[in-house]
Amino acid sequence: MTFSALTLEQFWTLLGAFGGAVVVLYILKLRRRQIRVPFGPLWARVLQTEQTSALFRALKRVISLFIQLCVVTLVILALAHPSIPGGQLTGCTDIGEEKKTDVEPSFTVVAVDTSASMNATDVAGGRFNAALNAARRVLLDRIDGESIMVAGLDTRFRPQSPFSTDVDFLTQQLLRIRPSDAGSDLSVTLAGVRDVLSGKPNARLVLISDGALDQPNDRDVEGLKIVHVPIGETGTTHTNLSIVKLHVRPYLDDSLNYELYYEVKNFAEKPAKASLLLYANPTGRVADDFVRRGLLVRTETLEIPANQSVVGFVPNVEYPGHQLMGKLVAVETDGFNDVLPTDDVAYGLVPERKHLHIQLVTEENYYLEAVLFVRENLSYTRVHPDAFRGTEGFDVTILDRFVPSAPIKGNVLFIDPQGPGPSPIAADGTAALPELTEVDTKHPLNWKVSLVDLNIGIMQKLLPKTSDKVIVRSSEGDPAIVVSETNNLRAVVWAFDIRMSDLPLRYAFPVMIVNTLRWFHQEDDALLTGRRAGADWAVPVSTTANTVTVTLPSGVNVPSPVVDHKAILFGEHMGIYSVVDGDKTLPIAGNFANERESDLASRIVGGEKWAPRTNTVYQRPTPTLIDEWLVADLWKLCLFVALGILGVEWATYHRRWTV
Amino acid sequence: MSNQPTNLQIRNTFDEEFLKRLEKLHIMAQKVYAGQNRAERRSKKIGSGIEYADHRDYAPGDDIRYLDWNVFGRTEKMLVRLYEEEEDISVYVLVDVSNSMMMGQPPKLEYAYKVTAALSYISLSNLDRVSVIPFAEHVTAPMSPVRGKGQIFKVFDFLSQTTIGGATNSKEAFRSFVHRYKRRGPAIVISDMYEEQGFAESLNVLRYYKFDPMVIHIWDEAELNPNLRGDLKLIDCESGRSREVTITRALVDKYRKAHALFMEESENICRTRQIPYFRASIQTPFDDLVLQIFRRGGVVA
Repeated sequence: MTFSALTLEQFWTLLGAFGGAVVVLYILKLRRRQIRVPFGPLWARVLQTEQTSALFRALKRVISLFIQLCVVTLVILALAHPSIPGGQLTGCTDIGEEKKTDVEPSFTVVAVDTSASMNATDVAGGRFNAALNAARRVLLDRIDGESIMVAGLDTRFRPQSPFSTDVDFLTQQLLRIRPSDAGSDLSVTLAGVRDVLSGKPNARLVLISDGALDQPNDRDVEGLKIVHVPIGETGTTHTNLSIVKLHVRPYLDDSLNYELYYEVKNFAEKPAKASLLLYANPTGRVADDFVRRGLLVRTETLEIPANQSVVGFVPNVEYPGHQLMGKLVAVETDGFNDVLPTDDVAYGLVPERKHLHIQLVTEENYYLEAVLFVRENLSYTRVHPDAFRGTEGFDVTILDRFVPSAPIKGNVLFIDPQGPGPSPIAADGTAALPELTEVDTKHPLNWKVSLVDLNIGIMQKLLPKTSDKVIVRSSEGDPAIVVSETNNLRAVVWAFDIRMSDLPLRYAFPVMIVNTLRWFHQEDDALLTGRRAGADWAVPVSTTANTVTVTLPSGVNVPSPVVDHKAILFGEHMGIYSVVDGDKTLPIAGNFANERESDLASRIVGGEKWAPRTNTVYQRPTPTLIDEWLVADLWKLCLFVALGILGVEWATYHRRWTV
Repeated sequence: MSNQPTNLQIRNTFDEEFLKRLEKLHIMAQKVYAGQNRAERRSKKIGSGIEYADHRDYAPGDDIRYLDWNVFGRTEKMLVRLYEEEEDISVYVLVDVSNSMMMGQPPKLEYAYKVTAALSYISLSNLDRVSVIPFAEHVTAPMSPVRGKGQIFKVFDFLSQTTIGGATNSKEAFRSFVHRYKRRGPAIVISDMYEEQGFAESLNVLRYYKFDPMVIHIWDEAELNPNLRGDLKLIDCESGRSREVTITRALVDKYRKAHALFMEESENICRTRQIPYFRASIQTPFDDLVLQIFRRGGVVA
C-alpha cells in the first residue's frame, strides 16, 4: 500500500498523536452529569431488564476504545489517500507467462523534468502533475529484475532515490520531487545520468518531460538509451508571454527616481495585449509579498505582435526602497491564454539611495548653493567660515576658499583652498589661464565629464604628495584636481575658484559635484542585473568568514560557503535573496530570464517514445470494480468503513452503556 | 429531582392562608358528616359524661352528687344517675421525613405536612388526642399528644422544627412506635413509600399491635415522567448509591411502567391487609385529599 497524500512518517505521527489522544481522553473520560433521584432501586429494576452477558459487560469499555481507535485509524488512512499498486490485491503483478525464473537484471533512471516550463498549465492539472502521473505509470510498468532510480532534472541531475525494486518506495520518493524555476541543461544532467548508469547492464533513461529542451548532442547521449515520455502535445505552439528583461537604474543626477527598462516577448502565433504592473516593496521576497503588501507604482499597457518582443523604457519611476517587481498580466482575449505564469514575473534591484547631509562653508557662492539645492538626495547647510565648528554630523563638507586652522577629518571637498589653516595639499604660486589637457577619464570623479576646453582664469600650483592622485592636469603639468586619502581625511582638492572659471556654466559642473559626492560614499550606480534562477551564483563578499548566511525567497536562512571572497549559492527559485556580508546585507534578484524555457514548444527528446511493455513481460489485467476502488479510491472505502463502525457504535451505544 | 428544600421553606407552609383553609375544611366536614360517626366512637363505659344513660341503686361509696334527688323526692328511693362517658381517641400521624420526601417541586414533604396539619386540626376539633411522629430510619423526636383545637399551633411548631433527612426504614421506625405508644388508635402513615424493603412488613407491625393503620401515599407526577435524557449518573438520594446510565426515550417508557407497577404494588399491599389507602399527588390540593378521606370515613371525624 502506498500513500499519496502523506508520507509513512507523517502517517505514523498522525496515528500516534490522534490514537494517543483518544486513549488519554478515554482514560480521563467525560464526567457524567449527576442527577439525584428519589428512588434508585426503581431505576435498578428498569435497568435489570437491560442486562446482557457478564462477558460483554466486562468487555464493553475495551470494545468502545477499540472502536474509537479503529475509526481514528481509518480516518487517518483516508487522509493519507492510500492506494494499492496495480494488481497487488488481485495478485496480478506477475502473471502467467510473464513470470520468468531466469530474470535478466536491468537498470532504469526515471527522470522527471522539473524545469520551469513544466509549470505550464496547458495540460489539465498542469504539466508537472501530468509528469508525475506518467512517472507512476512508468514505475508500474517495471519488469522483473529491473532496478529503478527516480530523479528530478533541470539544470542539475537530482537523484531522489537509490536504485530499488520496491515500487511503493519509489512512488513515495517520486512524490517528493517538486518543480523549480530553473531552466534545463541537458548536457549537465545527461552526464549525471550516464554516471549513475555507468557499468550497469540494460541501462536506460526514461525522461518524462515536455521536451522544451535542447536536443542532446551525440556526445551527451553516447552509450545512453533515452526513452521519452512526452508531456503535452508535441509540435504545437503555445500562447505564452514572458518578461525577458527587467532592469531598473537611478538617474545619473542622483535623483531619487528611477528609470526602468523592460523587454516582453510574445511566443505565440498571434498578437497579445498585456499590462506590465510594477510593484515596490522594500522587504518583499516573492511575488506574493509585492502583490499583496507592496505598492503598485506604475502600469504599462503593452501590445506585443506575434513572435516578437516589445522593448520599453519607463522614465521617472518613483518608489520607496530599492526593490521592484514587474508582473505581466495578459489580457485574455480571442483565446489568448498565458499558460506559463513563472516567466510573467521579474525582479529589479537598485542601490539604495542615501540622503546626504552636506555642509557648505563659504562666504557666498550661489553657484555651489544652486547645484546643491536642486539635488533631491541631499540637504545642505550653509555655514560662514567664521562660524565653522568642524565636520561632525555631516556626510560631506565643502570648503570654498577656506581652510580652517584646526585639523579636520571626514569627507571634504576643498575648492581653491586658502587659509587661514594649512591646505591639505601645499601650493606654490598660481598659474594664469591654464589649459586642462590631461583628464583621467577612468576615475569616478571624471565619469561622464569633459574638462578639456574648460576656461580657468587663475589656478593654484598644487604640490601633491606621492600618495595623492592627480586626476586633472594642465598642459603645464599643474594639477587642477587632486584626490588625497589619509587615515582620517578623504579630500578632493580643486585648485581653482569656480567663480574664476566658466565651469558653473557647463553641464559638467553638477555632474562633477554628483561624482564627487558619490565617490565619497562609494555608491555604485552600475546596473544591478538579476541573476538567473537555476544556476550557481558567486556573490562577491568582503567577509573573511568561511560561510555567510543567505536568506532564501521563502524566508529560510541557509549557510553558504565562501570561496575566494565569493559566496557560492544555488538560486533554485525566483525572488529576492539576501546575503549577510558582515554588517551589510546584499540583495540579489533571482529572475527567470530564460527564453528557451519560455518557448513551450514540445518535442521528442532522443529517438524513442515510451510505450508500456505489454508484449514483453508486464501485463496488467482489466481492473475489477474492487480493484479500482482499492487502487484509486481506497480512501472512500476507509471512510465508508469508518462511518459503518460509527453507525454500529451509535446503534449499540445505549445498550452497551446502560448495562 | 435534585432540588433539596430546607426547613425554612417547610416552615413557611403554615401561613394565614393555610389556617383559613383548615377552618373551611373543618366546617365542611361538620356540615356533611355531622353525627354520622360520633356514635361509633361513644364509649360503652358508663361514667361522668353529660348524656343520661340509666339509674341504679345507690351503693355506699357512690358520689352523692350523682343521686337523683327528683326520684328520691317522689319515690324515696336512692338512685344514682348514670351518664354515658364519651371517650377521646388517640390519632397518630406517622410522617415520612426521609430524603426522598424532600424531592419534588414543591417538595413532597411540604404537602405531607399540610395533610398532617389538616388531619390534626380536624382531630383536635373533635377533642381527639393527636400525636405526630416523624420517621425516617427511626422515629425522630415525636410530638407529645395534644388535645383541643387550640393545640394546632403546637402541631405547626413541631412540624416546623422537625429534623428531616435520612433513609427510610419504616419497619424499624414502626416497631419503635408501637412500643412507645400503648394507647391504641388510628395510625395514619403519610409517605412516598420509597423503601427498598417495601412497606408490607412495617404495616403488619402496626396491625399486630392493634393500631388501625391508614396509608396516604404521597407522590409527584414529575417522578412518573422524569425529564431526563443522555449520559447521566443517577444517585439515589437516600442510599447515595450511583449508577451510570444512558437514558433514552425507550428507557424512560420502561421506567414509567415500572413506576406505575410500583404504585399498584403499594396499593395492593394495603388492600390485601384491609388498610385504607389513599394516593395523593402533590399536584392535587391537600384539602381535596382530606375531604376524600372523610368520604371514605372511619378514621377521623
